[in-house]
Amino acid sequence: MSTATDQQAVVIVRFVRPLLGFDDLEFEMSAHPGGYPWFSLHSRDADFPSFLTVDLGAVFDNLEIDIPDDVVADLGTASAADLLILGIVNSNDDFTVNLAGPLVVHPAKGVIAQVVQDRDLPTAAPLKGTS
Amino acid sequence: MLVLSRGTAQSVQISNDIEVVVLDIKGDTVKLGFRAPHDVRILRGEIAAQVETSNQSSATDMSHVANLTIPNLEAQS
Repeated sequence: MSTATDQQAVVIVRFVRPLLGFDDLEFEMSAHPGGYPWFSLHSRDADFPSFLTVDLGAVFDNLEIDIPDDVVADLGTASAADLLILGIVNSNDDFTVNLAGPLVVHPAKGVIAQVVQDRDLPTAAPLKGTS
Repeated sequence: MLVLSRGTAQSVQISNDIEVVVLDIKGDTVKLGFRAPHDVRILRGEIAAQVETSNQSSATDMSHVANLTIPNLEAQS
C-alpha cells in the first residue's frame, strides 16, 4: 500500500477543520521532490493555493501539539502513529514555518485539519539550516 | 454588532448551548469562562487572525512549490 511518505504517492485529503482564509476543502498531498521531511499540498480545484509543508516531528524535537477530542474523532483515529503533523512553510521570503496553526493529517483516511493552538506559538518560526 | 454590559458573575447565553460567563474584571482585562459543546472551537481572535494571515502569505502556486530549492534542515528543540 502506498502512503503519503512514498516519493511518488499522491493522497487526496479533505479538510475536516478549515484552512483559515481559504474555501478550498480538497487538496492533493505528496512528498516534495526535495525529499523527506518536505511535502506539497495543492488545491484539487486550481493551481492556487499550493503550499510547501514540513513534517514538524522531524524538525522540532520538543514541540507539543494539542489536538482537541472532537478533531481526533473527525480524523478517525486516536493513535498518534496514524497522524502526520505538518507545518505550513512560507517560502515566499525566508523559509519560516507556522507553528500556531499546524496541519494534522490522517493520510490513510484522507482527512486533514488545521488545528489552531490556543497559546503563544510563532506563525513564522525560522527553520534551522535554511539560511 | 450586539453590545451588552455585563458585570462579574453575569453571563451571556448564545443559542441554547453556549454560555459566556464574566469571571473577573481587573483594570482593562476581563476574564471569561465558556460553556459550550466540545465541537465548538473557542480561540482568541488575534490568534485565528494571525494564522489566517500566515496561511495567505504562505500560499503560492503549484509550479512555485514544485520548483523550490529545498534547504537542508537541522533538528531543533
